[in-house]
Amino acid sequence: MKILEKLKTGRLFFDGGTGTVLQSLGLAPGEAPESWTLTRPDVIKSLHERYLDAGADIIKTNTFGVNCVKYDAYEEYITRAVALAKEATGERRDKYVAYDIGPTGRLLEPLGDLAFEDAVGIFAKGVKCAAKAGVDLILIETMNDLYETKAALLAAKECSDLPVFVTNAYDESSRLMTGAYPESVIALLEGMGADAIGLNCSFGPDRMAEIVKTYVARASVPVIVNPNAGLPSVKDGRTVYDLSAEDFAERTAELARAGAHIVGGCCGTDPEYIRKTVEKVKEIPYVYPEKKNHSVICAYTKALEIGERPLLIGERINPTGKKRLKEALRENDLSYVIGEGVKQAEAGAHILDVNVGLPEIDETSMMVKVVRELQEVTDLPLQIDTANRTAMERACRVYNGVPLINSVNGKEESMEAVLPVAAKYGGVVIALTLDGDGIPDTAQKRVRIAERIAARAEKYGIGKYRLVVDPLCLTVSSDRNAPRVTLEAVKELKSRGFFVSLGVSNVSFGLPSRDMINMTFFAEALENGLDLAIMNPFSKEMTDVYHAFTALNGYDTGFEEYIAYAEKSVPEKKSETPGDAAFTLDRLIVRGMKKEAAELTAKLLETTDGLEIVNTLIIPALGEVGEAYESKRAYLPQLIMSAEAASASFDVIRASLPSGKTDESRKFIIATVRGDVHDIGKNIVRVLLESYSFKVYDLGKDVPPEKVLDCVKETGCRLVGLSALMTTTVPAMKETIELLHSYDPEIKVIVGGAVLNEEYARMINADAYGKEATDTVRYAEEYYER
Amino acid sequence: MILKTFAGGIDPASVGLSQNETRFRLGGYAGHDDITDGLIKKCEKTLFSAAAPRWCAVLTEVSYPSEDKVELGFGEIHSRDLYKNLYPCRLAYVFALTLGSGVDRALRRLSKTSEAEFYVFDALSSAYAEDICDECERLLKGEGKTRPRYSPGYGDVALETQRPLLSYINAQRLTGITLSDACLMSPSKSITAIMGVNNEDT
Repeated sequence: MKILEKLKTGRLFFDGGTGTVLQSLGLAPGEAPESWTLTRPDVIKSLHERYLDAGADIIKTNTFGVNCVKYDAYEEYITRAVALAKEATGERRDKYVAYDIGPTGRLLEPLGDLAFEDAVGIFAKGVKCAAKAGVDLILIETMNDLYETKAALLAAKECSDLPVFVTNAYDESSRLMTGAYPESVIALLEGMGADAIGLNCSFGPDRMAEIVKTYVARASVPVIVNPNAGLPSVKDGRTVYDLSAEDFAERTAELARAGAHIVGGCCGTDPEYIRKTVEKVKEIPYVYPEKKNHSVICAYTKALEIGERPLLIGERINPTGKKRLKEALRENDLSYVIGEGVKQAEAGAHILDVNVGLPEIDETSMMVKVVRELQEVTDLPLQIDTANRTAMERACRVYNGVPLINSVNGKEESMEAVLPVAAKYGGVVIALTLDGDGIPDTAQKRVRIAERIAARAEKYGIGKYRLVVDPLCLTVSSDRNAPRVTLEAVKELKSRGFFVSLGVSNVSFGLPSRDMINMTFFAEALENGLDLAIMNPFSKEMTDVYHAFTALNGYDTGFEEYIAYAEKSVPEKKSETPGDAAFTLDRLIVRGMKKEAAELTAKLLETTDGLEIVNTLIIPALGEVGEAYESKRAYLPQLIMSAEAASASFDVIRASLPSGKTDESRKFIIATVRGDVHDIGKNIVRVLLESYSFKVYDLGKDVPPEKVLDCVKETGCRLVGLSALMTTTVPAMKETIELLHSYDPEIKVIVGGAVLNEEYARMINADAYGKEATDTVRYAEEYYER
Repeated sequence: MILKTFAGGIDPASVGLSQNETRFRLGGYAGHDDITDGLIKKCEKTLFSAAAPRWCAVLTEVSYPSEDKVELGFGEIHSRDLYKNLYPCRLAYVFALTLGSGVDRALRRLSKTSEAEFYVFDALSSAYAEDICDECERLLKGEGKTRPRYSPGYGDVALETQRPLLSYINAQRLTGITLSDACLMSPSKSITAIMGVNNEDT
């Protein structure tokens, strides 16, 4: 009988530890257990046999530490290990060989240096080899990072049709080492199609009880528990665990009583432990897990359960109608995009919508980049919002967690494109109630489309609970009945057990004072049972409604959230407002007050020319801080804060420059060279150039030489400005110049920055040296006049 | 031969951030600058919520194959400096600790949102790793007398020593510390150290 069939009939038993048993048989500390597959195969085979004799149904191959990075001969290790396990099971009926996969030992990007796809590739090689060698199932175990677990599971699913079991190692705080809670782990693994899930290693059975309870309560697949024999200590040079076989069996039986479906052991357990455990657990009644309906999304830490309370999806990372964001996306200015994410998180969004669709950019690569970067700055779950199937697939793949996918609709081609993505990567899907005939004009017809999508999703193994229906909201200004129909649909969908979402702000499109309409509609939708609202978290009116609603409807026990929100939203009494005469722009910059500097700059621009602000206020302020720093009256943090405040000022000035004024034929590439992150000087030059109507390609800071050359090739621009502040990065400047000149000796490079002078510039073969920002502008003007 | 093992978490609430180390890491900051003080306060709060220190250690026998070699149980270390530091101790602690990946995540976040905070937070977390290291040292030696601790990558002890060392004390499983190809530790705010135990008869 196949193992998944067998599991429906009763409890199964895993074997116990391998490494610790081999140590007791003479494996030296630091010696790899897998080495014995080749050097002492008889011992490995006999250990398998002893476990089978003790009553284990599933034995793990001796491959925990084997992968293609550690061993060139990984195939030999795996093939031989599988062969030994199969020889041991021999003619025994209903005994199974699990290909054992352990962690790579490397941490994945961004925390470590192993790329996600490289991790998938490493696991894939092992899986292919084991599948060929004829294992019955794959066991991914002892994983303490959610992202690596995802990589391994993906490889297992992509490279074989075998059942996949996954067990994670939790720490004392009941989280994985990199922060994931059990609820998140369960949702990710089930969503991606793991056949049984659970926990192993870390500690003894007694300390696993709480986590096991969570697994049994939430998982729809069988739960595995492979604990250690308690906690380790060393006696006479040997590691011993504090639970005897008897105690271990007793406590593991408790976990079986709590509902665990597959039990066995990990470090410190041996065949005797398993024999005792089988004896104690055999008679405990076995209940196959029921389907649970938890609608969960998450990033790499906490899980967010849809339906427990209304949740806010921040809509600010969506270029529709947002000029600044469009510009940022076109110019590859991720820092702006990421900043919008951080601000929305601070404003109280629970989920961030990510939509980067613009006709002139490569949406797939941008989507992947933005998802990755956002996950570095926030642990909020993301909503992957795109109509581009490839972009959706790639984003779901690299996403660390369980995504919210936006969206599928009732059209055949949409369901065929989107549902398989959700089936493969897990996640909850937003379902729009429209089809080939457009958006129906009645609530009943919209509900029918929802039912149709749900039926199709079911065929892909996606339960109704993993859909959130968006019955769509049209603007009231074009159809006065539109909001009524939408609200009726919300109510009807809720009564049929669907979760419901709405893009709330659409309702007021084309009207003035939109927030006034939006807030009332939002309140009504919440009243009708809305679960997710895509909205602007920066709108005080909208967040007011939300917090009042949750307080009034029992979602905010103790009113803690409401009180915290109310206190925060009272206008602060500012002692140092930008309006105060004492705080002119230069003072704000010296004091590093970023937000205030930006605000005051905007105000000054009403009456003063941008360039004048730069010359009379910003540059002198930076000079002052610089001097204070040199003379030890100010410290580096203040210097950096001042630079940030100045940058914020620059951004405002730059945004104020009329965009139509740019002369596309006068191009200029500018960059701070590799290894250098000081971009204040570069930013000054950029603002100046733009104000003189040059088309500036700003590559940012820490820019490798190749990237500058790529930009030259792409834009055809032959005029480049390089900046460096540190002496250590002048070689990088020289290298960049050499690369550019070797590509085309006609390329002109002007350099600037605190460490440079005329002589130094000549030494590194620059074509010109710009002492002041205006020198660069003059040089560029002359270049294009020639 | 390993004689004893230690492992566990350390509650950040039980170990304070040392002012001297912090100021040293901030480039000799002397205080009395309200802007920097404000940043330090803010970053300290972030640090204490992000840090989840863990450590592991072994007490192991030491032998000295020659005057520039030390054997702690995971292969000979070629080092005159370490030899000088340890000889003639017959026992030594080998240990590792980390502030955890939460601190790295905060660092990455700040590197993208505020350079000033990033700079201060980086300094504070480096200082705090030293403080946790002091705490480990305190927990290990108790009343005993030990030599000053010594870390791979320092003096003539090759950084590559990290790999067998971490594996010997089972640091990946016990603390989550991993190594890159270049032998740099991840999470980045991690420390490994070797600390000789003075012989009782000397």
